[in-house]
Amino acid sequence: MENEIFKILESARSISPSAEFRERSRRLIFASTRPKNASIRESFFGNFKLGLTVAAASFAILAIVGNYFYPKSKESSLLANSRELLKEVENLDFKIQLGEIRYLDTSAKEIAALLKIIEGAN
Amino acid sequence: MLEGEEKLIKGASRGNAGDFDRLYSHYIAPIYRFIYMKVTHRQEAEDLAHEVFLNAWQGLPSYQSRGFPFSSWLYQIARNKVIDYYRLKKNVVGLDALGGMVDLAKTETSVETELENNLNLEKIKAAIHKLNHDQQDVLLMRFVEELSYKEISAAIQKSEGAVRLIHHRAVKELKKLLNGANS
Repeated sequence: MENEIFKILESARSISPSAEFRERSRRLIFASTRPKNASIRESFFGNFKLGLTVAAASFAILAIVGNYFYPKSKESSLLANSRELLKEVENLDFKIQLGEIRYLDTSAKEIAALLKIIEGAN
Repeated sequence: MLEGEEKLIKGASRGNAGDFDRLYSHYIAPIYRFIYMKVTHRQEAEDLAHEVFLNAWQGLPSYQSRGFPFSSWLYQIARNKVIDYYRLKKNVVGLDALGGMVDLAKTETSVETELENNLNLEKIKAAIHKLNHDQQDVLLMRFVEELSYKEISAAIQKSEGAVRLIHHRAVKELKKLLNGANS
């Protein structure tokens, strides 16, 4: 039964359209205008895809390059800053110390002079 | 598959009528046959087959193969055309009323054998029409057009496993219908 069905179905392979129909159909197809919007839409999305790819690639390159250079420059600038700061602090200390010495010196002299005055009065 | 098909598709999608003409010549018969087996009227099969190729010609610039053969795309269009046809035309004339309308090409067989073949084919077609759309498509693509399960799965947009299952059920159902008709 099954084989018989398949045999009959296979016999349908000889069905084909008439030559007259083929010719008429061909003529009508090639006489039809092809919608332009399909190709425009395709090219738009094609360009959009390309643009998106280029943008993504540029971003990736920037990220890689930036990652490579940024920490170094940051590090170096931080180091330079800290060195300057240390220098400033050192200078500041030194200036403070000189000021203190000067103050102590003058105040000691003044105190000695005052003590003498007090002794003379007594 | 047609020799140099990819090149022809590229050419046709750029508007080369000669390339599309070669694709048309190669695929018009199987597409027409597929539609004819589903609609039965020769005139309607011609109209729908023409629409399939007209749509293909106009839609080629946006065609993407995605690893499936070009024929699957054409069958997909044909399938949708037939579905639309039945959606619009609910009052389809029964096949039994269309005796002798089978448009078989003339062969060397005797008139008697040809007539017998036609009648048998009519009977099977009437039974096929009682199956659902998916079952009809799978049976016709498999036995009349000899498409692979992969090609059928691309055309009807179902997995290969699902196509095998539909095929199995369709054969079982068809046998049941024909047995019922014979008894």
